[in-house]
Amino acid sequence: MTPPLKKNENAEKPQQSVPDAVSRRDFVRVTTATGIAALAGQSVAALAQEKPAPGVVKPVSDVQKLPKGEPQMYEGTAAGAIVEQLRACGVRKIFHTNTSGLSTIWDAVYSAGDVQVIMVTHEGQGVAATHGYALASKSLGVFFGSGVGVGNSMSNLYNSWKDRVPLLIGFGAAGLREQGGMDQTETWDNHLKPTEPFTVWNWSCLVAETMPDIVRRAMKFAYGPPSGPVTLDFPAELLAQKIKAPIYKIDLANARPGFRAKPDLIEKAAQWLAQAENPVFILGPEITQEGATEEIRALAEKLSVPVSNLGWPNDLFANFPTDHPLYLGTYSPSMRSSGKMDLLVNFGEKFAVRPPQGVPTVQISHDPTILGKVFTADLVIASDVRAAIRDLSDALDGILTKDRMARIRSGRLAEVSAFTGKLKQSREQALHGRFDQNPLSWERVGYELDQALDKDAVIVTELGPAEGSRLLRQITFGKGNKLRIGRTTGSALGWGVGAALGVNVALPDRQVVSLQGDGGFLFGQSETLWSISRYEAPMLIVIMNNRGYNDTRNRAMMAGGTLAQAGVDFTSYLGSPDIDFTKIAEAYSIKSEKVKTPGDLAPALQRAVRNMRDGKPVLLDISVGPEGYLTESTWYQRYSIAEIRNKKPVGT
Amino acid sequence: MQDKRNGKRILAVVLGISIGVIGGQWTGAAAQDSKQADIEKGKETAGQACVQCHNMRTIQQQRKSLEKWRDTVYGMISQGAPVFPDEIEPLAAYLAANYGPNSPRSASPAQAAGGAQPAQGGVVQQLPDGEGKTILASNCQECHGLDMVTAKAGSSQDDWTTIVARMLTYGAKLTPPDQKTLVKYLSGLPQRQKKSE
Repeated sequence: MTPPLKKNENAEKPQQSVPDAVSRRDFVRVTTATGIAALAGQSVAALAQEKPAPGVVKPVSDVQKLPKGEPQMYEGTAAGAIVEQLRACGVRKIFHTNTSGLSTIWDAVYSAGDVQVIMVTHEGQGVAATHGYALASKSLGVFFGSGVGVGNSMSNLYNSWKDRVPLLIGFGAAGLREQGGMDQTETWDNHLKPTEPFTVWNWSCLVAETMPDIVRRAMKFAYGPPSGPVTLDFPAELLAQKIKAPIYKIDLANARPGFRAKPDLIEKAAQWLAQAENPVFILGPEITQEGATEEIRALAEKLSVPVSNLGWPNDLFANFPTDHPLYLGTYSPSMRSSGKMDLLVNFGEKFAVRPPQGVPTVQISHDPTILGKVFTADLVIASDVRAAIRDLSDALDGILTKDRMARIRSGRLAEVSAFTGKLKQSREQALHGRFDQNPLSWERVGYELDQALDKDAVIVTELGPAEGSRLLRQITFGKGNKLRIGRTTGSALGWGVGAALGVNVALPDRQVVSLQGDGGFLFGQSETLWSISRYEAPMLIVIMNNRGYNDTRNRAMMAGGTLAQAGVDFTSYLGSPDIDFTKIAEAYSIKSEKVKTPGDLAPALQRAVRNMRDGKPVLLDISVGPEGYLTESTWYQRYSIAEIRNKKPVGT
Repeated sequence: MQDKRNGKRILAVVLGISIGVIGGQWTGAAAQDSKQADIEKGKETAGQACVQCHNMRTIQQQRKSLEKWRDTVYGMISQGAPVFPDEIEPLAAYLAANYGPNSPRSASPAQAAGGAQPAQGGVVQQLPDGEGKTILASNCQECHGLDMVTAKAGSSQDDWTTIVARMLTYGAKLTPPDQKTLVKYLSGLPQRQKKSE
């Protein structure tokens, strides 16, 4: 009988945001007075309020107290030490795909009693779920699977590496005696070799005593910077070995070293911002990852700076309220704007789209490895983006008078909001023009989702860039509104449903919706429906069914080659057979419905929301029209094995 | 007296008919001018809003009715195309006028680079050799066909400088030396001659 989970003694704490920082002026004043160097996670202003003890200039907070005593020593199996080390860091969820080589790990998990294992029936979906969990929790994701499952895990390992998400992925491995192909399955010796290009570190744990130490090191590497997945493998016989090892508590909320920019660089950036007539901000994933969405909104509003984001494939989160008058939409080097851009400031984005010719650029990131990596910037600043935003804001206060700032703010706001207001009117006209299309338009689906879902629902999207953006633009994202996660910047399909499960595990109190194209869902994602059903994840899975890989077909036709000129779509048609996704859902005991006409959608969504509130997952198979080139084409290269075979006479 | 009244009536009718005819012609002409102005406006919008995300070849390969082009414009707006409300109909009109169901297909990029231009109002022009021809063929066709270039042949160097500068704002990838070379080359393009029947 499975013992109930114990109450969490070292409960997995939610990611602490970068602690309340003080202004640059106070920061310098206090640290200069005390001679104490700034430490990540400290509230310097709070220190100033406490009364010092006699003989002490400044009081010491609990966090700063000198640690005493030896680390906790563990005695038991190496597998038990690994689990104990993970628990000491607050890990209470482990994603897993079946393997026989890690049974001692599960022995330890069973004994601990407070770690939940989430089983996923395919390593690729398991890694995707771990990835989604890490994105939503802003903490470490942990997955264990089989060594022979390395291949299955690769595409989503790639996705997590591209998204720079801290994951710890452990694989079982053949024992040392079985190295050199001497095991009966003749597996390859170095399981981790294929993962090397898509990890920030990997290590085969060949010494049992060092396994907990390796796990600690792995967590450090996973957080970086750069952050990313780490792969480890563990020979089964070593996991069972008895060891004695220290176990250290690590605060994962502060695992990534935080740092602030050099003051002169901030000053320079602030001067440029003060002088620019038409600056634009581009926001990247570090904004959401650091919890800096409110700070960037305040900074943008301070001088009414319009805000943009990179589109697919570099669009992991909605980092700015999409209904804000300063939100321009997706960036392009030749983007239309309210004025001729004369400064581009990039916060937390790897800057993978070239800046406009002749426009000075600033790039700010907490990951020094991406600064100037794709396109050079005129001014690069290595800093936590949240700290940099606050420092910039303070620097601006020292450069511009309140009156001047107010004049810039109001004048520019009038221009930008007039521009964005017109675009909003156009979007409303476009929605109206496509509202009653049958089959459903993507715009209509987006509109109805925004109406029916909880205001703060979480949308995990793996939709294609073209039609997907039409749907997503109908939904309001931002503080107090919905949260968008995805699409993964890796863009390897077969991520979204697993990721949505992981998001729901991390955010059980929020309504989670997985948005999939029919083509993307067929990239091995139905397996996750088993986990969704098993763990009663009350999610909504939406399949946008246009019987084809719409984006792929359009891009092939746009290329204008032989097939385009012949009007032949070689690879994109998904009908014949026409897939009934509701039957797939029913196979996993998940309620489902087909939505075929515009009038069906709102009632179906209401029923879905009721089921979700009752704790049940739901799948909706929504028929939408193909768009773009050759939409009427149902041609495919016909090949029938049944027809070409040589039939055997009956009775032979 | 009766003759005078009849004469006046006849004159009034003739005047009325004349005014109606002239007015109708004027209305028709004004409508035609307005339609042409819309198409020009739509062309300008296409150059600003559409090429932000994709090149003109995406448009040039398609043939649709006005209704379908309008729907496409709606879709693009939903996708993020920065088209203002008063630009929607002109843009649809431009697209339908140039890429309607009966519009001729433009030459492939390979044909255009080799010099053969698609028929446009019956005029075909060979591109002269020169240093700028390679830049023209490799850069400009990223977004639009060369017929849009040859249509401006005969323009002054100042005009070409302005046009190339505008193309830079639309996303054209030209280094400053390439810009100079291109302007010089384009300034040397002779004005198109109408091909005799």
